[in-house]
Amino acid sequence: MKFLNGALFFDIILLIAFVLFLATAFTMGSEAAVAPLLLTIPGVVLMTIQLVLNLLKTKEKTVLVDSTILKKVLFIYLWLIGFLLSLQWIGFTLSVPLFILTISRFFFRESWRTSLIMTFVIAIPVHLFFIQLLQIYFPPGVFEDTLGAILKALNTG
Amino acid sequence: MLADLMQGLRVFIELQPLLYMIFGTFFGFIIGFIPGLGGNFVLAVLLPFIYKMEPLAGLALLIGSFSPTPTGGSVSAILFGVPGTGQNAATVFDGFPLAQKGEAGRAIGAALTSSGLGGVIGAVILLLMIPVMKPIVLSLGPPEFFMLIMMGIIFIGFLGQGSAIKGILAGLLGLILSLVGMDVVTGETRYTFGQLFFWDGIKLVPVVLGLFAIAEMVDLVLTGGSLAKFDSGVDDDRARKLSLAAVFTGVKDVFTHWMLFLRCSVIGTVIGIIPGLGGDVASFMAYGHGLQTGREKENFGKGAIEGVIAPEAANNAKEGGAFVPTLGFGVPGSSGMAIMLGAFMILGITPGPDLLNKRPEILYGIVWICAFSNLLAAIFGIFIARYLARLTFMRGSLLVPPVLVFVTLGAYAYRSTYADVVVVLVFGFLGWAMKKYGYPRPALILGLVLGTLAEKNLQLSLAIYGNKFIFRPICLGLLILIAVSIIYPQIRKYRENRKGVIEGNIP
Repeated sequence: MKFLNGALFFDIILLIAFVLFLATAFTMGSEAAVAPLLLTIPGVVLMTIQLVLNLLKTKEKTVLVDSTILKKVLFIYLWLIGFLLSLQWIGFTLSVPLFILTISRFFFRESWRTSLIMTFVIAIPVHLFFIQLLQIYFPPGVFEDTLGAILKALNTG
Repeated sequence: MLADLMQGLRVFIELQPLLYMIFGTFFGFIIGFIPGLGGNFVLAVLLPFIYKMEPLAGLALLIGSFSPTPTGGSVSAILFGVPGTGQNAATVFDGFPLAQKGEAGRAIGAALTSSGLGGVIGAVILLLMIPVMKPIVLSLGPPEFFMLIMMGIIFIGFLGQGSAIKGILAGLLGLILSLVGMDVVTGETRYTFGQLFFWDGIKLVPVVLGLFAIAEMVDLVLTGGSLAKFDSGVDDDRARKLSLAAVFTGVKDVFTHWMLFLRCSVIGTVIGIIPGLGGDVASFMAYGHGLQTGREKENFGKGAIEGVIAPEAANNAKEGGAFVPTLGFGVPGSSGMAIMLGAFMILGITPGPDLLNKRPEILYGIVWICAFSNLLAAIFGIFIARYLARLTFMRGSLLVPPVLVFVTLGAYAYRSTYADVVVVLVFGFLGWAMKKYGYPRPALILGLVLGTLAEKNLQLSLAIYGNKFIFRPICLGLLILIAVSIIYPQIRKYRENRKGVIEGNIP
């Protein structure tokens, strides 16, 4: 689209969201729908006005989003999603140092020395704070479960 | 009142609240010192950890860390010309030139003293306003509370920086998000899209973590480099010249200009009472007042000590004022108070008549926390400023990983569910986009926090008074105030634009 830029794209996404909320409001019972309708109708109207104002301001062809920015945002999110999955699969104990080490070394391109120091310096206080002080229970994860089962089998065997 | 005040002090000086306040003060000062983070970030990061605490302990941690962030921010404003928080921008005008002239110690001494004592003045004014608030609050009913909530959201959206339409849209989005879950009146589920997780609604903690903490870290990753961008060679040298003697010269300056300090503290507190006006407004207005009343006006902008004292007194005093509408009416006096309101709900404290009548120890405890944390931050800063200077040379790549770990684990720790972490990530992306494209995040938070209360008051108003509830005198007055606040800036902007066109300044 000739005039599509990041701001316009975000406005379109928000407009779609408001329209979706409005459409869903019509499926609710009459009493439950009062507040949703009171909010979503002006929301759709204002969002449309905002989009039109933005369109009128955009006079020339612009890049949708800078690809470098998009790549960095995407990668940081992939790292966070990876951390979340590793918490579930590998467990808390290994995930935290693994995340810090990999993000420092491979995303921020710090040296191995800096990355290892950071891993050590951050992982220990995190463990002390969340596990010892706050007593938060983190499920062991598939890896820790399997490792535990193997060790148990070896002991009994 | 004296008995309640002493009760508040007795509760506050118990070990737990005191320790949390001390920790929070140091933490908030350091975070305030690091440019780009600020008070909202501090609240966002600490929010997941307060829900298991006693109310006053949780408040001691949050208020203790939030109040001194502008105090910490003044040090980087003076040393490096980079304000630690938006509220310290005016301090740069004269603080940085003073540092360039070799008087960094004096400027920091003046800024820290002004901040610390300004915060105390704000707390004192809050204390004096409490008896005034009680009869006002008790005369309000559901219609008035509904209108006050709407006014708060609209003010945060309209009077903050950026486009008014975007402010209103952010507030509306927050209000809509507050409807997610089961309707308490009809029992019907709304906006759950078939997901059981949403039956309990969207919780404040993961939203705040995403909008403020993750979004700021993503921004930091994108900007890259050190936290404050400046020539490290020159400023490293400047940071070393912070002798205690020089700092105490600045302390004396505040007492020399005590009338200016007092006036600017009052200006800051009054600005704080008005919902929607931020600390930036308070510090700039105080700076302007200092300039107008200064004897040597030509020195302003070139290293006048009054140019440091004035804004710093105002930006700390503002928080005491911001507590007045927040505690009395549940209408936040600033964007930080919007998050603080959510914290009150988490701790089981409902601002308004309940708090004023039934929990005076919490109310007066807050006054003591405000006063003590500001004083402690100033004392801490005086001795630690020169050592902190090195923190701003730290690369963003060293700060981002630990913050991401704490935020992710903090989000999980809140309710021991990974779904909250997913919410954090989604709102992190939304928060980054909102920041990039000019949608105010505090307005969304305010809508989310107050939405349920607004709907409850609306339904009560309709049930008791029918549609005519808006014609009640106070309601009508508030409605007119909202309308004037929306329309008047637009008329003024239109007139200014027309004047520019006529004079040929704007094509």
